[in-house]
Amino acid sequence: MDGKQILGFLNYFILGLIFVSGLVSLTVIDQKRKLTFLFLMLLSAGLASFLFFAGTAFIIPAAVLLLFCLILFLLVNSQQYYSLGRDMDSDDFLKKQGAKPEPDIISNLAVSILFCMLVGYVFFRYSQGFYENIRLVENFNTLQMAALIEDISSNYAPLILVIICCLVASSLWFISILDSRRKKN
Amino acid sequence: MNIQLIGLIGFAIFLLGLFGATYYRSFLSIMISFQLLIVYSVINFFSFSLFIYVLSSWDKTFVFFAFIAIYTLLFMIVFYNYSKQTNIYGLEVLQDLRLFKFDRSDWWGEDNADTIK
Amino acid sequence: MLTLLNDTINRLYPFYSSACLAGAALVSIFFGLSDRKGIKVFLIFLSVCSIFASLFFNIFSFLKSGSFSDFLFVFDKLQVVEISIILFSAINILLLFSIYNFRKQSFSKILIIFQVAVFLITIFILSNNLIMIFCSLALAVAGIFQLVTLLAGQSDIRTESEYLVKNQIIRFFMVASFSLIVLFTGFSLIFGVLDFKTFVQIVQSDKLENPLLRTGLFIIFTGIFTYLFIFPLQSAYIKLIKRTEGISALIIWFFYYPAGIFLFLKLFDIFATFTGKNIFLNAALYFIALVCIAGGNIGAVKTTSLRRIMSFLFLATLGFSILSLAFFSTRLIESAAVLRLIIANTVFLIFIYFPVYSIFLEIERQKGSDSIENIRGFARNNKYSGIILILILLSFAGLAGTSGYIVKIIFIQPFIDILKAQTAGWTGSSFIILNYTGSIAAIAGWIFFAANIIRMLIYMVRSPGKAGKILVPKFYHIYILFFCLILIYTGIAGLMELTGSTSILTGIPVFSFNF
Repeated sequence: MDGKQILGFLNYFILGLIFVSGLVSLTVIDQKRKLTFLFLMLLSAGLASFLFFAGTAFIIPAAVLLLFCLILFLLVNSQQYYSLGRDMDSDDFLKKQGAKPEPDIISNLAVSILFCMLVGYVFFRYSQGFYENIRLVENFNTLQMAALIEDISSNYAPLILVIICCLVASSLWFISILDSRRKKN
Repeated sequence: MNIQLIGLIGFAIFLLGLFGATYYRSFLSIMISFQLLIVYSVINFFSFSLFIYVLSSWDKTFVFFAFIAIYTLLFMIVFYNYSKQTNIYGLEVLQDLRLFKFDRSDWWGEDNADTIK
Repeated sequence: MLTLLNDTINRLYPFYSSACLAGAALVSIFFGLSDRKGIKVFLIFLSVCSIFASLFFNIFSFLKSGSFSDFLFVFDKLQVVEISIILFSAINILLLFSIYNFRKQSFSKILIIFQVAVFLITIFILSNNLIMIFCSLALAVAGIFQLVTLLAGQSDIRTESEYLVKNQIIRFFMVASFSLIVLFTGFSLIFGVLDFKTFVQIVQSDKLENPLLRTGLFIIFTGIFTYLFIFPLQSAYIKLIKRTEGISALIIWFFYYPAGIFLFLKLFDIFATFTGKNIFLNAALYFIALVCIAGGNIGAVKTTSLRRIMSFLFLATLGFSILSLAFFSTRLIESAAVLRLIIANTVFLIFIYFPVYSIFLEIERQKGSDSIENIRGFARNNKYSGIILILILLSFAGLAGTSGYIVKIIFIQPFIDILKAQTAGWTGSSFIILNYTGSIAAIAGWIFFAANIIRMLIYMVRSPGKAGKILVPKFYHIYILFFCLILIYTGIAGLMELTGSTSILTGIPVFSFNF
């Protein structure tokens, strides 16, 4: 097998893994398992970006993603720990609850599926023409981190300032929110 | 690697995310759907950059800043949810946060939905 | 030293207004953790001064230095007006926020976050580059989220209603996040065509027929549709306004919604390129507008909650703005008139909602609920504010001689053409059915809208009965009088302009102002 074919296969495999882990993540009921498959999906997406598309330029977005995953992990674990206690499993809880199916579950499902099918059909039909007329490059090249940082610092410095302002305000917000938790504890 | 096939797989991920965002009622499921939608956009940006452009920085810059912006908002929403927990598992996990609901009280009459279901 | 100062000042153009706000926020941070009364008063004073300074510099700098455009930002007449709208709203929100929340523990922190949120919205308005637009909008929404959550209260959730408020806040901002993610998806598709940096480049390119570009733009417009909670997606918005803290409703109406409207205005040239050719698109616009007007009016008429009435009427007014777009799509009105109408509608809503809602909020605070029964006999017990409020509400209904008719009179013109059988220009057009339907529906919508307002007026002039006496503080008399005078003044200026006299509004034409 040619190196390019192997790379292509790996690419499709990782993209497929993103889809499958996303699907499993949505369908399982247990919160922790949802998170596990979400992390797997994001890991696959990160891998695909690093290996095939963006190289080292994906480091900072990956760091941002990691922080987000951390807070999601904290949320799910604290929900389970403070609500159920260390030993109780959420599956047991849901079984004890005897979770009744919602009365409108079928109509909601049908509407969502039909809507997605409509969007899929419209998009598929109208984007076909694009792929037929596309002109591809001869060689794949990805921008290096240093060039990206130079571009950002020379052209987008005001946006960095704006982000810093927002983060400073956000830190005040976090302090206010955390204050109430401290009082509670 | 075929850009059309990558686009199709990416679009399947988008449809999955769109389905999740329109159907699911739990907070975590909706967040997962959002991640699927974002992943599709990132695949678009990076695959177009790889196949169509030579050493493009626009896509990476966009993803870089957009991630900071969107995830700041999502982080805050998750943090707010985390900080305002009731310590009642049923209320936290079984809350109905469906983004697009068609409830009669949103069109007509009084909003008497002040009871926890 | 002076040269350096001069250079810095010149380099700061056109960010003088943003710099004032950012400077005030920076100074406020040093006092941010204090809850002393004197510090709070100082911070309010600082914020008010910074907003007034921003407003002054916004207009003065444009008059002195003219338009500005570079890789990231643009500053033209439209941006001056948009920033002025946000700053004026900010002054009013700050005033009401200070009255109702002065004793709040985290007052100072909320004030700083408020300043930063206004700063972020002004940066968004100035943005021209696609990355700048998207990121500043997302961060502005984050700022608005911070404000709404802090105003909702920081105590633990102890009651059902607090739990429901938290849920509705999360739901609303998750829909907002969804719309931002959809925008992001649209931008990613556009990138597949060409690495456009601004919307102007898209309009000027020869790629407008490209299917991927059209798909991307369609997705972006869908994102804006979702962002604005237009019918049938209004659920999260209606539920949040009903439950959230009083000032948060004003923040949603006059920070969050204008940001979405201004985003659409950035895309207006692209919108104009696609309309007028496709009958399905034009019909869809009419449909959305009429559903919005009808839905807003029906929702308002069938409820007794003042907050729900105001939130539905807000959507109905948004429907009138969309109807003006629909009229433009079939070329019943020109593009300059649409821009004028959309801006005028936004300004008009500010001048109606702030005085009316401030009174309703005071009544809600005294009575403990926002039932329409609480305003029964208000005009009899408070003759002075009652008369002013009646005038303001009549202006909202579109009474001639007040500002209300200015934003609605454009819908009469096609109807008058029908009555005079002067539709020759319409004949032969494939849009003739749409034009007829739209014109008649616009009048019907206006009448229905006015009926909703008259319903509120009837409650106000009735005998108080069991509702009891409500007396509003004298401060409100002056506050609502200010708005009433402006509504009447602009209304008369518009009437004079219609009759051919010179505009008395400092030379600025009401009906022919162009951006």
